[in-house]
Amino acid sequence: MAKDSPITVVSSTELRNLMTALSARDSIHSTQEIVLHDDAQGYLAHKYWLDIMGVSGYLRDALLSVHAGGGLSRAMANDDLFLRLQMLRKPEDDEDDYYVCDGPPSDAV
Amino acid sequence: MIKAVHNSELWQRLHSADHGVIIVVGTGQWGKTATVHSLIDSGAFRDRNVALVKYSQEFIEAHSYPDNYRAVPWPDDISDILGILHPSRDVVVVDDSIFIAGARDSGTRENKGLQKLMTIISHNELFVILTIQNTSMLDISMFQSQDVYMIHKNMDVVAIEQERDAQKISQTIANLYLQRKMKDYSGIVHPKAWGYCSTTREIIAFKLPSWWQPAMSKPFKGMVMH
Repeated sequence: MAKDSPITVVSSTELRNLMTALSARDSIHSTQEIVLHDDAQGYLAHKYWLDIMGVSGYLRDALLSVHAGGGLSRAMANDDLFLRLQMLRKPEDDEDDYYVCDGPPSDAV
Repeated sequence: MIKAVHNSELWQRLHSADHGVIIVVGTGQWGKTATVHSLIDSGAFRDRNVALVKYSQEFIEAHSYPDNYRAVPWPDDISDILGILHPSRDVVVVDDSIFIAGARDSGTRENKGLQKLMTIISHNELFVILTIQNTSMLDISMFQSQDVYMIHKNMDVVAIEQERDAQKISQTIANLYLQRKMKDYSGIVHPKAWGYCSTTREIIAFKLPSWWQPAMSKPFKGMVMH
């Protein structure tokens, strides 16, 4: 992926590989992180530095979100699908939340 | 945390609106039609009547649909549509919408008619629900309404590759959510119940309405569309 490219085309092969990698997570028992970012090395270096320094919780998330926020701006400006995917919340963030659609409200007449 | 759908942003937005387009997309036999009726049965559209486009009235009468369901034809002349649909009072269901809104049939009479209808649904306070197996099969004009809600059902990976670019990412994300839920709630929630609304980013388990019969998922069985 060329940095600052105005348009990123996601090929079918890449998409299939991405699907395979993501769906394989359940069968891999080591920590796996997929980073799709125009500066993945910088993002990981930042993340590891925070880990080494013992920065965790809200502060860690906030500092990483600054990094992510810049990526999101670029993603929106460049219509970069890979970057948008990277910026989306991970499914694990709210994996326990869901709604049940099972008829009208109980107070319905 | 598990909540009733009435607390979801999707339900609340639909419940407070007076028009909109809902597109339910996913591979065949993954519960798109049942999802549509589950959503209607939840009261999201209040007490509106349900107009099932191109269904046969015999099919409606042969099955246990609620009294406010009816079959409607698609008119030869779109100017007659408001004699068939009732502004402010109907939810219009176009099941397997490729028959009248197929991307490869954009110049046909029926497709042009639906395109025109989409431009005036807000004026006539109508909800239109479309089901389709892949959005690449759906005419682009169906997405150009200002109030579109996308509900994704599970989609085959090969089918995702054929999706419109704008939908590939959403459907990929949807599949990840849905497949995770299918695994985590295996034996508890039917795998076909799961749906993901990419408009509001909500995961919803659509249960079958109490009046549901399996044959209702194949309303066009034995029919040849013209």
